[in-house]
Amino acid sequence: MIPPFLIKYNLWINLIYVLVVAVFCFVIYFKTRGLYKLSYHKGIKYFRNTFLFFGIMYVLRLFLYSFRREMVIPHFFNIDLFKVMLFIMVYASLMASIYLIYSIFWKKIGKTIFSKIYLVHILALIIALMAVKEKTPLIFIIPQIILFLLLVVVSLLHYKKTKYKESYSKLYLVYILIFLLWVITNISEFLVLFFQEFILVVHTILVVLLLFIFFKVIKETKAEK
Amino acid sequence: MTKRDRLRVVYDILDTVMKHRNSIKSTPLLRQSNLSQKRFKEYINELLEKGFIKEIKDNGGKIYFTLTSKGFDYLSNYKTITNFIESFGL
Repeated sequence: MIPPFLIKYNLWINLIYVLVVAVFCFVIYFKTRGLYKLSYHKGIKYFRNTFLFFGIMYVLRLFLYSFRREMVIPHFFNIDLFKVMLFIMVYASLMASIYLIYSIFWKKIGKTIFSKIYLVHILALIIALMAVKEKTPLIFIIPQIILFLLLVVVSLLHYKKTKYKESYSKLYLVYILIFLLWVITNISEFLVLFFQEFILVVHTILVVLLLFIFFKVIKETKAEK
Repeated sequence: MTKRDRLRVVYDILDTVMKHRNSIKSTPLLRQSNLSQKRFKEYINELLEKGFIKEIKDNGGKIYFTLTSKGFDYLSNYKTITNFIESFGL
């Protein structure tokens, strides 16, 4: 059972959690900048973008939590800022998922229609717009679940072909778990209210998994001159 | 022999330039790069455009390729780049 003091400070715990995740994501993004600027490697580019969009999503979540607490949603020039932030958050969440799949599968995408990344951005923008306009979270949740299943398939296919089976099995499991927890967080945010204990466990595991990626990035970029 | 990937080809070209006291003409570089003329031109243009190498002219008007600081950075970080790609399955 969740300790009572944690329930009392639930909002603050959520705020800290969101802030920590956003910081990890942006550090991963900036730490890999040097390697990308030297290699122009598509895999590194997509990997970095995953964490950039993941970070953006969490920053917006931070604002949304703060606004909810204050119960004040600012309006500028008659624009509902809550809806705008929700729109960007949904778009960033979709793009982070897509970039994660692309980072593993970019060689196979080659010169197909999917290589035109701007088309994917447009599609994500349309889904985000529809989800916010229609106030139907399912429009956003269903593509996330489809993307999750796609990630599982792509990881399995890549794992079968790779010669580095031992190290990739752990890594792909981490990717799949991060994605799964991410989808659960989104579902809990928009559709179903899970028990607070469950959400707290989900958040904790997500932070631990991100820490794993974070330290792996630090380790691998340490030798950079 | 396995096919070299783009990163390896770039490494080989830059390494050849460096091993020739950081100054080499186009013809010997083409020969030592083991690329077709078409592919060689594509790589050289890309390296010039992205600032890994630059062209210098001697007094006789002959053109040489030389590494920039970015080119040296690439060579010294090549192992880190490939390790990163391998360890994240990219």
